[in-house]
Amino acid sequence: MKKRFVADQATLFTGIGMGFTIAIQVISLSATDFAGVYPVITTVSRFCALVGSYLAIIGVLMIARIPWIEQAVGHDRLVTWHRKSAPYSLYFISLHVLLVVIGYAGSDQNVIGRTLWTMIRTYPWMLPATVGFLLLVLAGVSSYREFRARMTYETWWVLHLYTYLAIALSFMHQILTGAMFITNKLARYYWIALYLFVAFAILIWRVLIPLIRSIRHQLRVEKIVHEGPGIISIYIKGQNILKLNAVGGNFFSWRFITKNDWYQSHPYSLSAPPTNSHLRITVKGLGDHSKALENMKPGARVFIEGPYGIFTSKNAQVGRHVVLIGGGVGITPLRAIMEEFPNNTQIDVLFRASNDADLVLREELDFLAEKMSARVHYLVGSRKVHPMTQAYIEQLVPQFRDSEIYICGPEPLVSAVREAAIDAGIPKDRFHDEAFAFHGD
Amino acid sequence: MLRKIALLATGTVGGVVAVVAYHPPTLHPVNAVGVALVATTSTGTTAATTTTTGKTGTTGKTGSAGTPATNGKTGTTTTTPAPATGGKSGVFAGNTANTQWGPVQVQITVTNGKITQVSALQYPNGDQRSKSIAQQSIPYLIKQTLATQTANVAGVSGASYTSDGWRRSLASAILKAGI
Repeated sequence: MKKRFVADQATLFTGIGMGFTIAIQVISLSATDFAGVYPVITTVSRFCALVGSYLAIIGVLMIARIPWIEQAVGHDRLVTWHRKSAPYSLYFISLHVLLVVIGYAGSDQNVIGRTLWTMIRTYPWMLPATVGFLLLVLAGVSSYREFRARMTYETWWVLHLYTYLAIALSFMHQILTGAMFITNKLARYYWIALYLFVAFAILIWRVLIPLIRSIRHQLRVEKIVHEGPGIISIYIKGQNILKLNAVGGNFFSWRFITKNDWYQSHPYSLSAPPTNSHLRITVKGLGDHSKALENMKPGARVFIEGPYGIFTSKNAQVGRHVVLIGGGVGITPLRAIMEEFPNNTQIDVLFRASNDADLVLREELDFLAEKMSARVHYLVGSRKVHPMTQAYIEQLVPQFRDSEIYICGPEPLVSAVREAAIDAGIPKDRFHDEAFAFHGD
Repeated sequence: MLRKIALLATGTVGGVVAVVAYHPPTLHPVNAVGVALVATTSTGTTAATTTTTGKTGTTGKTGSAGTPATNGKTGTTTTTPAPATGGKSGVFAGNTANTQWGPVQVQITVTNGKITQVSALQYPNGDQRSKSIAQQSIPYLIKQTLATQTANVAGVSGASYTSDGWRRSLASAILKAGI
């Protein structure tokens, strides 16, 4: 339960930070803040600014790859929270901009346009803050589903990077014009410390560590093996790879330095447990990027971010029966996990595929099954033939309800198995899935 | 999920309470008694003054018309009371403290070692917003000065620069007065 403890602690700290953030406004309030409609609007706008900025900071921290938090919460859940909370930060900051202009214009009995212009022109760092706000809107809006669907991953990614710039550009106007920061030294120190912490977290965990690891381990493409129709395994050679502490079920973000694709980075799970000299991923070539990988020349440099993910054998209760359920190319992380359970663990592998050609890594699975006395059930055919309900799974694996469940595959399969697990009364902490483990495109 | 929300809420409330308990806000009543703001005519310069004794001795003398950015000068005509108890008395103008939005200069009247009257000789009034901020905040700054009798006034949020300039100018005035 250490994981849960860390997650709870992180949540509590996030709450306390929010409390501090609201408090620095509360302690700097004075009667003038409530003397009339427009001062109240200005006061509310300051509140929106603080809460919105704090949410933005937390949103960035959630995806800063801070190791303890990644381990405790899981990368996919952090990304989900990041997605859910980020829009609110945009709402609050937009409200701040709107209300502060209305409040100031009202107090000065001036037209809104002129007040806005005066503010941008005369207030310290207000022009950069305005640019920052526009960038934030751009990054935020491009993440809405309707817009996101219309652009390539790379376009979205570059726009999303503007968020960092937006946060940096808006910082100085807060410190120099924010009532709570000018009047209160402690509030100022708190705010600066918060931003410095986030900047360091990004620099260390998203830039320096991945760079150092990639350089130190000298990762290069060794060979590319065709596993089936459009499915390839990429073998990556390197030095002292075990020092990465990666295990089966982990994924990395991979950047292959080739002429056309060096600027792209994509997440893929390991398809075999790492050895000291090799890593392997298995990719289905549906997307443009994974198709391009097929033609990659051996010797290409590889940069990694990771290992990430908590979809690992460590998170199972020792001694329990294990059921690994894979759909199509989703079997690959399970193949990597399979080898890492303690020797006497009883394992059932359920491999769903629509046809025989999609049964990738079959020979390896059969070999491991024999070695570990595990059972592999190949469930080939339509969903009607193999409905993944509780009843159906229990026919194959009678111990289903007492097992640790690992599932990786297309979303319909994951939902079906999740429902079966709930029906069987399997508690949440014995059901393991990770959105990032599956890259069926 | 519910557990996380509970933890978040607990942390937030705890954080607010802890900080506010350590540093309570200095809210002043809006309709403060004894606070007077003497606003003058078309030039846009104003002078604010108040006194604890209720005995006001100011005549707002404005700067020349057409130069709205100049400072409102206040001729203080307080008669210095007899130094009965031997404390220091007199009128002392602080140094001009420059801020982002303009200069701030505070003048204090000291009677028997006590600040009895405070006025703003200069304050930011170059633009409409600065003017309205000054008009709102200076009465509070005056009141805070009379209450604390030191330069350590809490200040007024929303008028942070004026408050900061006020503290600096007031500190030099107090130094000159030697109280």
